[in-house]
Amino acid sequence: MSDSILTVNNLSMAFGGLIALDKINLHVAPNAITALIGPNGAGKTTLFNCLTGFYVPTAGSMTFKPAGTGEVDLVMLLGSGWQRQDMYSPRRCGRRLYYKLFGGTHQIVRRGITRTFQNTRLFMGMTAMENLLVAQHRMISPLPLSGLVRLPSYRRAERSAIELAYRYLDEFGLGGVANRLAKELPYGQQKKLEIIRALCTNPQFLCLDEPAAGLNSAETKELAAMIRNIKNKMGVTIFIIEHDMSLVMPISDQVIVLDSGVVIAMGTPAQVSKDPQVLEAYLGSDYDQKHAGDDA
Amino acid sequence: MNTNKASGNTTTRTYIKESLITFVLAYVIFLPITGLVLKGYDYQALLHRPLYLALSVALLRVCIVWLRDRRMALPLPTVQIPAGVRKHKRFGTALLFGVMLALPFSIDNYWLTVAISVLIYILLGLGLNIVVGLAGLLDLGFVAFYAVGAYGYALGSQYLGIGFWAAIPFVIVLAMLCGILLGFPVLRMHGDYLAIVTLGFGEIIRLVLNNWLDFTGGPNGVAAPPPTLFGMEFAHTATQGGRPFHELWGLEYGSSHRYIFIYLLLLATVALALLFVNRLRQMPLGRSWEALRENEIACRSLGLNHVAIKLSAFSLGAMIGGVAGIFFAAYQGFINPSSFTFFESALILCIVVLGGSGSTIGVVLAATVITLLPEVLRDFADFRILIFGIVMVVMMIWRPRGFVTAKRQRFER
Repeated sequence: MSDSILTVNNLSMAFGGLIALDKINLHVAPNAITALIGPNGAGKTTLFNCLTGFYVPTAGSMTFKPAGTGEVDLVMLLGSGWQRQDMYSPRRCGRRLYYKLFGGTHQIVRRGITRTFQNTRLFMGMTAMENLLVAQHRMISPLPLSGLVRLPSYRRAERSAIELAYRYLDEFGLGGVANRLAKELPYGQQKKLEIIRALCTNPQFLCLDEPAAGLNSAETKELAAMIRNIKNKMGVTIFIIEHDMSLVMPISDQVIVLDSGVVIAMGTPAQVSKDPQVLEAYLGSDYDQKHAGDDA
Repeated sequence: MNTNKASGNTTTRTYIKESLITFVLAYVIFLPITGLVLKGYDYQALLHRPLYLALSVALLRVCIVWLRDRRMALPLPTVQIPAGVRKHKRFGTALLFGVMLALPFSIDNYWLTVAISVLIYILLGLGLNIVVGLAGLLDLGFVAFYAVGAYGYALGSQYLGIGFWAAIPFVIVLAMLCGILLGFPVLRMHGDYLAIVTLGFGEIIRLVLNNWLDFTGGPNGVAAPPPTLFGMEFAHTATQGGRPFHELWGLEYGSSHRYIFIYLLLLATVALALLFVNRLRQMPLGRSWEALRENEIACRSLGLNHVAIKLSAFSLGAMIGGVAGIFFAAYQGFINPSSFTFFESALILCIVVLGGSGSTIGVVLAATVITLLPEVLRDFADFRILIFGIVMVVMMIWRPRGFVTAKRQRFER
């Protein structure tokens, strides 16, 4: 698939002797919702951590190709994945060295991949608005210290960042809590705020790690609408880990199933829910296939 | 706090009961401590001293009960500035600044030096506030930067011949470099581990200063030149053929001129540092420090470079600490390593914690209290540290977040 926004090739991640991801290959289509499912311990969050730079993969490559720009080698941005041919080109060699020194998670976010966490990681002692402004730090200050003297250009940038944050907050119904501390918000709103905060980094590719965990069914429905909204209105590609099938199945365009560090199925929700390997992974080998339809 | 047992409307009887109990308890406790003074093998009973102390404790108790009552009526546990005061905040700040400007001309040399040390501690507190209060990096060796500033000035003038004014940029660069030097090895550390490494760093600097006899003079210390104003000295007779300050202005020579000059300069520096820190807090850099304190992983997930943020916090904190060191050296005229012990670090940390982590006003308040308290308590010199410890413990129980809770910035549409 040449039109995929993210291509993962033979990606492996080992922690000592434990192989969490074993030569994973997958493609994610742009402007779509792709779900990553699998039993606990399958390596879903490990894959997310590799994608967003929290882990440096042991082997393999991850290529990100956003619309309108060239390919980006995500492993290189982390200062890893040195290849032999890099030695023969001073330009490539220099680039490798640069990312070795200044690479890291922030380089990946800069290219447009942002994530949320399974257990919300908000800045609890700061207000909702401050949370969003931290995410927009790059938009506010092109000159690091221009805010000390409050240059007009700085004020304009700050104003537009506040306006953007208010627009997102209003869009998702949090306009009234902008100046409340994050820790004072109810759990559902915290979950939403975390997604909005990720949106504030202006991503092209949004990784959501179990956004529905701990939400009730009404909140889950609202969340599904929110995710669709983000995809349709903002053109953000969404990659989502989720256990709640009532959320995943209706909204996703593609489902990838991971089990014990291996991709066991990939396809539309309908295809995947009938796949015998998936059923085996989820329900054990004795499960009668006649019941397959009930699950989805 | 609001779940306290005291009812909302305390009666006069409760007040009397509370104060009586406190009075008796305090008298019993203070009687052997202050009431009996040893004289050789004999002792002298000075029973009026514990009486005064117990009376003041009882009075304090009444105040506390009253405050607790009032606080139950208030919706928020934070210090609320009344609207009228907030409206005139600018005016109030200007007034305070004016009073501070006039202060050195109306007090004697002793209190002037106390005022100078208050300002120096405010500066140190502001510096450490960046590292501990905002960025949440527990630093127990902040005194190292203070020492770097003071020694940078004294040794710089001895070896490189730089004066007071040239020392300021020199020390700023030097202290920031030291901050980065400390920052690099501790990038991956948090909490207790970080505290221990920074503690070690502070001790290393002091031990180097103490033992490198040829360069720093070791325990004998080194002289720091007095500051000058456009080449004018504040001495009785000028050393290098110039005219001293008092001659030029036709004044009588006074030993306080030098202190007044340092005080005014220090006041301007503190005002500048306050402005600097307050502006920083509302800027992306300051916000990312706080974000780092709240959640480092989330910080990274939003594309903040946590290495750069930590190093900037260490270096900017060190910069302010270094500037405080220059003023300390300039006002002492002579420094040696015994001024830069761990106790100083602990004291500065107390200022930040007591004031309320992250709050600049709190730092100013706490620095004033902590520097003035030992002066006021001169009579109890032996118990100073004890009282200090008790105050800290009581503070931690009562207001674990310090005197002043840092107010969050509000954003209107």
